[in-house]
Amino acid sequence: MMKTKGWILAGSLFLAGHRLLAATPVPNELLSAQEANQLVARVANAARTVTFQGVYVHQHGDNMEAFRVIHEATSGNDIERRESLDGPPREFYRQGNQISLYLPGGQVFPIDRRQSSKLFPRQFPDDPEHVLVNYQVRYVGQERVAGQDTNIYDFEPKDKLRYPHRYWVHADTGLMLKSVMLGVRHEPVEVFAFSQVQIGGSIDKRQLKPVYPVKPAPVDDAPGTLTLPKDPAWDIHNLPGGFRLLKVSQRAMTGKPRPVVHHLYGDGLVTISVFIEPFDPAAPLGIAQQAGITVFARQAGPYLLTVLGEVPAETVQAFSYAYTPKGEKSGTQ
Amino acid sequence: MKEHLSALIDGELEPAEFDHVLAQLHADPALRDDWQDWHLVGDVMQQHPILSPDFMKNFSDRLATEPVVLVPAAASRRRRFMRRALAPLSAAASVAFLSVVGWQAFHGAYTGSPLAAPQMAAVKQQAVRVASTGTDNRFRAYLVAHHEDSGNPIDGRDIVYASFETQPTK
Repeated sequence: MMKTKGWILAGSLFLAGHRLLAATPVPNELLSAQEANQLVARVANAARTVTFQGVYVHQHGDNMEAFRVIHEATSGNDIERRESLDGPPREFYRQGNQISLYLPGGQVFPIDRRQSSKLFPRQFPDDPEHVLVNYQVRYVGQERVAGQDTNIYDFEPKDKLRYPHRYWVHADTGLMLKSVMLGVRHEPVEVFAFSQVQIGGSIDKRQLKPVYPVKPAPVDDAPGTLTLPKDPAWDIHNLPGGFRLLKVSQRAMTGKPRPVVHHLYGDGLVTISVFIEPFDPAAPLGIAQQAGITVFARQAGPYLLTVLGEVPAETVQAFSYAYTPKGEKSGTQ
Repeated sequence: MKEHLSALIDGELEPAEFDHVLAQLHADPALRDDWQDWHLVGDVMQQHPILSPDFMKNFSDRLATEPVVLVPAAASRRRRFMRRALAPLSAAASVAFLSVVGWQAFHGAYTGSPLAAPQMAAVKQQAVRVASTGTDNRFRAYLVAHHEDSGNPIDGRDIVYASFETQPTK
């Protein structure tokens, strides 16, 4: 009798020890702050340092597109090439910080370096805190994706300003193999998923050669900031929490006679754009949602204010009402 | 009008035209005959089984004569005991349901309030319009700019637009 008890004790100690050694998280439990931090850092790092190639599917709303991606990260090399397999041919080529593009019509526009590093599977920012201040991480369980064993993690928003995300992370390397953003009704609104992937191994040099005549794109390297945009025409206060201002620019836009002021914000996983231009009575006002993106347009004094992003309606409205035009002077921007 | 009817059958009619065409269809028996005939032709070509011409009428008649069964007679006596046993439970359940609804309403109101600007209340009453991908191009320019700057330049949903609009010089 004593012997059996002893064995049970020994067995449970062994199991407990085993669990500690393997550091297997418990399904459906929240990760501690430290574990979450390690996870985000590991996944962000894997996308930079792991060599991989494969085909992934990008699904948004009722559209689906396949892309081929090849990333070589061997000694001293950091080369990435992606091409679209569906629809019009597009190609993205990156060597270190140099980015070249091929787009239909041959146009090229400046690329924000910090943001362009966010193409799947590189969605996590380098600074884990940027994400973890807004989301808590729950380990869900394990699943196979593209023939690989993955751990599933839910990123649950800490407030109602964001949507939940779910990530499938390669168990051995930490490479993200699938990501899903869920909408208001918990329906998937944006999915990236490898359908075939080779992780590690060597890459045929010919695979890294661009297929289309890519052109170098100017790279914009401005760092993000927590301070508010300083615009003489606007009072900006009470912006929703957890968002950083990433960029302020003036840009020409299709169908607009004058450049439009653009403020770009991010919370580590999703981005929000605020567009400011002179009010146009013909412009559609109100709220619209499409494939996970919410658009809110309203008149603010002499301006048309359009806010959009991969966030719920409350968030774009809160952003919009955080902007108040100073006085009624009808200055141009 | 016939082109419109044909477009409606093919699913190619602009949604804005629906009401007009349906009203015409309602008013004009000749159009209704066309409608029947074209569907018949379509069914034959797609090898769907052909129903008798007065199928709808027969179906409606039979439906009207069907008895309305509310509670199967045999089950009702056994149910009575169950109902008595379950009544307190269902009362508890409805209280629980009410409190969930109440909590959600309260919760919604609560999370709404820190954001609420005076204008917000008015705006919240606008229904959120779900735009269909194909038809709503009004926000496309903004989407293009958003995706370019948020770092996904090869995203297909913008390319479609860019390919048929000329890009202004920068």
